[in-house]
Amino acid sequence: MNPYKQTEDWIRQTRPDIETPASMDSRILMDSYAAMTSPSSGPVHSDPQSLRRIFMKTPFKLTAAAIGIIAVSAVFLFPTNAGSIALADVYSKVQQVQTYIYNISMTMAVSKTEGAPPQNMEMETAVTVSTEYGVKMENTMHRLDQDKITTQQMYIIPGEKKMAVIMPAEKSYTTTELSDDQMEEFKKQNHDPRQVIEQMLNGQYTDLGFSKIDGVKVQGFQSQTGDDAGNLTTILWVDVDTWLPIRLEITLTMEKKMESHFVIDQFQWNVPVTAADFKYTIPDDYTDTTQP
Amino acid sequence: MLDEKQLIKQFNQGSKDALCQIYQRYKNDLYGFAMSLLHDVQTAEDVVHDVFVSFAQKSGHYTLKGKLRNYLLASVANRSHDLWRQKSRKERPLDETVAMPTTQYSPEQYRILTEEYTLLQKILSKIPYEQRQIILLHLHQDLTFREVACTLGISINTVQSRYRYGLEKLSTLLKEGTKNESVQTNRGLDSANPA
Repeated sequence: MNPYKQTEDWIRQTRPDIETPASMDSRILMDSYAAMTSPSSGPVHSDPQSLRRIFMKTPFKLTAAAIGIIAVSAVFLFPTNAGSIALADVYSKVQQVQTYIYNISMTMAVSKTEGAPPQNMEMETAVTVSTEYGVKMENTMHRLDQDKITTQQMYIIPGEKKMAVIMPAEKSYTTTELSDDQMEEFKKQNHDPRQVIEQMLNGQYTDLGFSKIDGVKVQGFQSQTGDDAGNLTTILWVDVDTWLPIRLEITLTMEKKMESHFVIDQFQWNVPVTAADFKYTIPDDYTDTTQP
Repeated sequence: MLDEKQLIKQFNQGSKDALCQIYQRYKNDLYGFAMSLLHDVQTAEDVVHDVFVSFAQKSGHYTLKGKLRNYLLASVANRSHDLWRQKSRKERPLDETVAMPTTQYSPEQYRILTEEYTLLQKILSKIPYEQRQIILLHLHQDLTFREVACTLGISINTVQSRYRYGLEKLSTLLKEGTKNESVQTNRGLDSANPA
């Protein structure tokens, strides 16, 4: 007689019933597709100290995941080609900006399987970026299937080498120390449209000609690419007088299971800001929920 | 549904759809296996990520030997072992390792956080990694001892002895658990306790 049969039976019954989250699927598939297209010689390991990992350990991870989808998709989907002088001028102009404000509106529908009813989500994020003082993001997310609205604020302060996420509804917050490398990585990250413009510049795009947005004459550029795995369409509208972006629209579909649409607009360039605009205060009754 | 040989053929021809089908077919098993081995959601995700990206790099020259699922499980076991050794060097306290704040979980992930699974993770973390991976491959992933031996590249005698030592230790830990009030509240423990 097997003396451990009951233990064996119990372990069998305690097998985890788990499904991978959509953000994980997106990340792994995108990185795997990229590896298929451009296999490197060495092993691929996730960097436990990467800024993305740190983001994903915070309550801000859904926002980070959404923004990450844009970035990863852009890297994967845009083929390389010669750039355009006009778009290069836009990129050059944007690179000179020290402070800017913009808004991200996102709608996302994710189905667990093809044809299944999707989970719908809406998100609004107001972003302020200063090369001197840091980044402030104020995020409101609405999960339509749960009729649940959550708000969060995130600050990244270069002087303090720290990221803070504040959740007023839960009366809680998290703080994360950032190393010099992580701060450098942060500077290269795409919390703004600059990364997307850079990817367009390095890829193939078409000139949409002229149009008007809120009475402003604009010129449009469009990239569209994809395959059996997913499709990404990016449309950039640029003010023809200032050569600065006025609106960015990104639509991403994956495997007929996820469709997301981003509108990035309400740009304000070189607005005056002070360190006080990036200073956050955590009320005494908030709980520190930072994970070790 | 395509069989594995057809999928691998298309994968080697550069089909992203084939890679996606492979991922969708095995992702939950691999993620659950990594979770049980490592007790950490984010690290488990990284393990599955690394395994699939490495697998994707083999497109064009991958040769299927045995079952693809077993190959991927072995890759997860090996990558998890590397990370486990790194983690062990830091000598994190057990309670810190298994304490998983529920706020970081999605609703899908939350389902696994039953008291019994938490208890299983806790006692699994007290046996050597080599024994743990064999027990999980056999009892959670339904591999035979011969398949485990082939998958891990060790002899079947080694597999069986590690399995037996590990199971013996787990049974003892469960028995001790019933005497300890701190774990006695875990429902199902009595039924799991060996007579």
